Amino acid sequence: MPGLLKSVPVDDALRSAHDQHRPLVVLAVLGVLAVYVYLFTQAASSVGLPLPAQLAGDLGVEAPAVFDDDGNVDSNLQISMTDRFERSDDERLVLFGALAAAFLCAYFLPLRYKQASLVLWATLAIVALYGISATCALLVAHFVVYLVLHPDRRRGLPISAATGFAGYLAFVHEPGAGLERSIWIGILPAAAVVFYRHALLPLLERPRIAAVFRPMAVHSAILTICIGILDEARTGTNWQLPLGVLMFFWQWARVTMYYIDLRDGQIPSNLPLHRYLAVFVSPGAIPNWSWGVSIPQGYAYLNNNFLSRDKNDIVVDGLRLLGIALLYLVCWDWLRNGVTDWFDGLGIDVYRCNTRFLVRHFVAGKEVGTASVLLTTLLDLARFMLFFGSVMHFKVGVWRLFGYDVAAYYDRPWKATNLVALWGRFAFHYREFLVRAFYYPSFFRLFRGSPHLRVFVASMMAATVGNFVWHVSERVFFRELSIDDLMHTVGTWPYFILLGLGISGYQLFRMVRKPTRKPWTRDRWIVGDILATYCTLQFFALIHIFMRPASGGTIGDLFRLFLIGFGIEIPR
Amino acid sequence: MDENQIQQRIQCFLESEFPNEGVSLALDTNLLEEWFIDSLGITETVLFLEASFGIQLSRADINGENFQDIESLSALVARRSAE
Repeated sequence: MPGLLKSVPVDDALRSAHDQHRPLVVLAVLGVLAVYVYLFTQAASSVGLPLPAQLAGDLGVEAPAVFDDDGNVDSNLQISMTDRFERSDDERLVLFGALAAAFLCAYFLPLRYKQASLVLWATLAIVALYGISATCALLVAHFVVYLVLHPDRRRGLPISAATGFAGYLAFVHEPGAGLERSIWIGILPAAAVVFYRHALLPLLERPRIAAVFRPMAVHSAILTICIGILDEARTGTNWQLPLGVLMFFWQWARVTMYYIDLRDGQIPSNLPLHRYLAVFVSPGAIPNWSWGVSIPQGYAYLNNNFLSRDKNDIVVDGLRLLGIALLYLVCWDWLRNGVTDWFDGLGIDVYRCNTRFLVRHFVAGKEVGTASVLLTTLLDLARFMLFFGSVMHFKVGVWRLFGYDVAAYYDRPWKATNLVALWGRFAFHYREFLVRAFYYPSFFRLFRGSPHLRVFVASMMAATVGNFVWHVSERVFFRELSIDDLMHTVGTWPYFILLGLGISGYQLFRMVRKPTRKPWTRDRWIVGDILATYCTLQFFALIHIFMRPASGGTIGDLFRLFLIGFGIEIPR
Repeated sequence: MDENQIQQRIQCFLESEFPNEGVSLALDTNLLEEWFIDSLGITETVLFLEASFGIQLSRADINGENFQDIESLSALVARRSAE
């Protein structure tokens, strides 16, 4: 949490002082992006260069797991949920192109145009990757949230007209011939203006009604899940939502953070639309947008960290993260194969470093030993950490290229000596979301007279309830609104309970027994740090057994497997 | 209680609850950068401020400006006490 608070408002004069150009930095950024283009797209073949696999072969490097069948590097960097291009390589090429253009604009344009240029390039990239309809649906959703959160007659009317027009492009799929189309184009913006002017604005002027409307707009994603699933229970059919709406729903956590900032008085009520959109519609939000709380939070954190120190230093820090991401992206599969083969050679089955395979094996009635359970879950965690860390480093690196001094999402989780630290190191921005959206509301409202109970309940609210709610939304939006997907996530409840108990238990322990040294201080207690780190990672790895249920298995099977990790065997 | 007394009590609390070898705690020591070891430090400081000074803090009070150093913390206490 100390890191969470490391942001204080910065004024434009200071930002201007930080906005100095250095051509070498620009060349370095374009060079690194060119390396990404070379490794993760087919651009090399278009310009007559050897593809990465061919180059590696020529250099005598044997790393078969690293390359795709088409000769470039197999990548976790994805453009989620689009099929507009035949190859994912081409989607990545669009992304890298947009990132380069957005970087140049954000770097060289005057301060007041920087964020608007990022919104523009992100919009163009989303149009190219997802089409006009999806882009407009995403924009409509954000326009509506903006109009509800920032009601203003003068500014709101043109935006409501734009909402109507974008709504036409997003949702009117069969507009008919010229005259009918013209009528639609005329009617929808006009209707939106009239609705805003004569219905929404007067309602938002009433505090009690605004207090209902605002959370409804912010939490429309969760409300839709609930209503959609109830409707499925009633009718037996599940809802299919437009892609652009799903993209908006995926930003639920960040819209929530924005709303918290607004309620905390950290956002000016007359914030211009482009500065609202800069939080959500930014090139940094595009890669793997369906992963995690796709960085940087709401308005205040981003705004406070925009050009908060020398621009070039921020960009260089971004390049450093892009370099680490590149290393992870290229090496993680190669490492996994090497480790698996090594343990196979020792006669210990680690199930391709995949807990899911271990669970399937066990549920099928076969025996597994404690060493296999411990090693497989730990290696799976390591695999996932590299996999996850590569993408998160890339995303944070991209935000830094644009001048946002954003903290790393992922910061050497193998140095965490307890579960609280692990969460901060493994998923920093996600933890901030849980702390602000679930921990604080509980902490500042419940059990004020009992410090231990207060901390315990708040920790459980964040680590168990909030974490669970977010995972439900993740699962449902990535697939479709269906009871089956809901039930799948509900079935993973032991993970959330055990994680919550682990985190809350550590918090209570810390309240009783104060630490007297910083972890990893070079003294004789460092052995204890190593042991604590192993125990933390192993526990976190083991509870992931409950996140990987296999068909035909029961919660009881998963608990038996979990206990085998502690050397306890319960007969089936 | 004047501001000096508030600052002294906060300083005593921080030094005794979060002993930090190698860092001397001054009124303007950056707590977030140099003092708190983990997130619970903030939570425990909130609990201490509420219990010791009879104030109630809210979520919005937990920000980088208020928790920057002892001076900003004592200013927060003074503001809340005056309400």
